[in-house]
Amino acid sequence: MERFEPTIIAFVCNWCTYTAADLAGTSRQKYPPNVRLIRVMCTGMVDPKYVVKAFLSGADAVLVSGCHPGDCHYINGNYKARRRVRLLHGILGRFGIDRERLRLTWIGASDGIEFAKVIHTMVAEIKELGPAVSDMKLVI
Amino acid sequence: MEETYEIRGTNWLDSVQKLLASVFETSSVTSMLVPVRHSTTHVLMPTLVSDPGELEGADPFAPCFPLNSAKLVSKLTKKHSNEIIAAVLRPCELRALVELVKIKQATMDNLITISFDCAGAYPNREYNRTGAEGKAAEGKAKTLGFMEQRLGSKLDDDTDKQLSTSCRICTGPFPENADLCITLLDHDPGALGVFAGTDRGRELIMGKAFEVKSLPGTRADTVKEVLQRKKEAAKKVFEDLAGKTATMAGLGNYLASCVNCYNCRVACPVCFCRECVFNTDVFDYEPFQYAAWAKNKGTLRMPMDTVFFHLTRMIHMGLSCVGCGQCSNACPNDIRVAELFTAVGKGVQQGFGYEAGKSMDDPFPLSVFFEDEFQDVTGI
Repeated sequence: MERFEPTIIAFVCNWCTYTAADLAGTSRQKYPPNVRLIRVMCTGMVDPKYVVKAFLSGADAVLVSGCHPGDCHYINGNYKARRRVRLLHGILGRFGIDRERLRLTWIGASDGIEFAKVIHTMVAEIKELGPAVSDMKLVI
Repeated sequence: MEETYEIRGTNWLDSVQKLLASVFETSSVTSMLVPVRHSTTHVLMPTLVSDPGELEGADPFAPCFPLNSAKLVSKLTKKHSNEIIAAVLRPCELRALVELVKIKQATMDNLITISFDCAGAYPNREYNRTGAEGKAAEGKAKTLGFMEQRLGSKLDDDTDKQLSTSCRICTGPFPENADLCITLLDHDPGALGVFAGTDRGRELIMGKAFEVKSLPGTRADTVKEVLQRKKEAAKKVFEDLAGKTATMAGLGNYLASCVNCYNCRVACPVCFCRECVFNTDVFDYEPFQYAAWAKNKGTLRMPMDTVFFHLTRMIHMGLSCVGCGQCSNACPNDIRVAELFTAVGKGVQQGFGYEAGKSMDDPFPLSVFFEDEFQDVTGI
């Protein structure tokens, strides 16, 4: 059987995690190609709909990543994101999309190594878990 | 212990009409929103009454729940007005109103709320089938027969198979925080009690010519017993639902006959967006996109975005869901959406230590945030 390669959609904030990803690249850090980065200005603008749409369109996991508490460029966007992710955990968890598949992390702009590590860990764990929505004929 | 006033009329409807008329007499209320059986059509519908003489058609107790009036109260109070309005609401309507007030789509500044021990209601189609709708005498008789049976059995839901599932599993059928709370359980047939749930309500009933009585001593026990039964019923329904919708595919099957009519959204009192995103250009795809998706997957269900719509609705209204069941009432294809939204709503509300409609003092969970909270959400 073909080895399962998960697709991970990552919503990363412009000021911290995206910059960290950039740093990871310029410092030649390697990480698996399973992740698709989507740059947003702040995790506070990640509408829960985006996350749901990602899963329904076939993503096996979603990462939302932004600035550490207290470091948000817009003061408090990451706190709002945290509440929204909690809400999503509550809803998606009921329908078989466990919280392991929707992660929220804080990765600062200077943490290129941490970014690569997070992607490594996440890809390895999702490979273990298998595809998120196995029956793609479902009503979407 | 709150003082209770007893009102004895010839029957429950006569008693409640007396109470409502007295609100007009002794307060500055200029109009009242209450379900009224219209004198020409004999159809029961929430009505704004300004002439106390028209109250003889008022029937808030009928097992008929055409829509959740919280939305109507929002229309009446969303902007400041000098009119003082009273609204007779089922407990679930009052809870929905509290949620709307929190998001500033209604106010209670010039509003007197009146609620009552709710005996439940039938689904709309079921009520219309009873033959009571559209006929004056039958409608009234139906209500009184229903009350007698419901109160006689101490709200035992197993004795009335027509009750809607939402009412069967409702764990908030008793009035809380209404200015005036009407009690029906454990009173003599035809009589009702009224007590004030707020200071405003206290001012309103003080000095009225009603007999002061303490609440029936058995009430607390009966209330507990009713809630216990309903909690057990709810647990069963939710477990059954969880079994059916444990996966996304399961949820898809549950919603398989949905035609994206969005009636559940229209009927929902707490679906708060002024313009729903599903009506905007965001979901107005180009024809070539459909073709591409179909090629990609082999098949594409049309209409599409059905599960997406329902999940988005859960995200928007789940935290405010009061379990009124109007979504199921509105579904043309009999999808049991009320159970789904109620179960999800209860779950996410618990996650935030929040209970929709319970208190004006608890802020809507997504409207506040704190630095040191929910640490368990983050991390890898």
